[in-house]
Amino acid sequence: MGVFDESASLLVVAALAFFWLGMLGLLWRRSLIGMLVGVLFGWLSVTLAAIGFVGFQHDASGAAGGAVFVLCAALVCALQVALGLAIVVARIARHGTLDAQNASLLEG
Amino acid sequence: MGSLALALGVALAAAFASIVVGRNLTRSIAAGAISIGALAFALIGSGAGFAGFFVVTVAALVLATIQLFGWMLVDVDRDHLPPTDRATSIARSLAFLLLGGGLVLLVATALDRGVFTPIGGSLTLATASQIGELLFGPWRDLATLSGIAIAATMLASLMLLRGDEQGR
Repeated sequence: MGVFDESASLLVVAALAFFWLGMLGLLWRRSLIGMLVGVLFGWLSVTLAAIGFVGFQHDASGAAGGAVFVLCAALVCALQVALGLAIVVARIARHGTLDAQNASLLEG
Repeated sequence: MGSLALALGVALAAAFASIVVGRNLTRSIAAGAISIGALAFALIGSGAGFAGFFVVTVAALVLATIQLFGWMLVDVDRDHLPPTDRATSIARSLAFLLLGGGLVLLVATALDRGVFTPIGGSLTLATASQIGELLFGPWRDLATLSGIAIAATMLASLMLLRGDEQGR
């Protein structure tokens, strides 16, 4: 995990921008599939921030902790996408639409 | 350094395109793939190592899964969704502009105070206690402002959905 300090600074700033893009996707898109793309960018921002902050850590334990955090975040991303797609499929089966405007209740 | 900034710029531009071309799923997924590819160049070029490779691989797999389900569930040329009404578009625009403004303030303040550069000869900035001291010390007001902005964004989204529910 030998990220240079200058690169780490850029990665942290890019992580903030990716977070904004993820929120933009969640707010702007009406399709549930499109909102999942926004969730993906939000997750990317978290992992980018973790990798960037690991760049400031110059001891082995800090770098290892950051790598473990990235692995855990990846697992959470896989789980949330699996659950999100399951919800999407359930809504398609029951309502026949991907429009998030009509999805304010979680009763299927 | 320059190539890293260029790759990150391409990744951000492609991600933005992926969000705003939402009426066409294929173009949105293609832009997302370009974004992840540029991010791969940035991460591997910056020496992120295994973590960077792992992140890019998982992101590509997740995007492929979303693409697969999207092609199964929707018409890829258009999402069959009616256009968003003007009031909702304005409210959403204000919400994400508020959030973006808060993040820009955060970055600008961080750059002004030199937070992203080593302070006082110490290169270990990002310990948990130091981040806590930063957010509850000199950054207290800014952290509160960002929290309020994020909460307002979430609340606006929920209220919009609730309003649509009542309007049906």
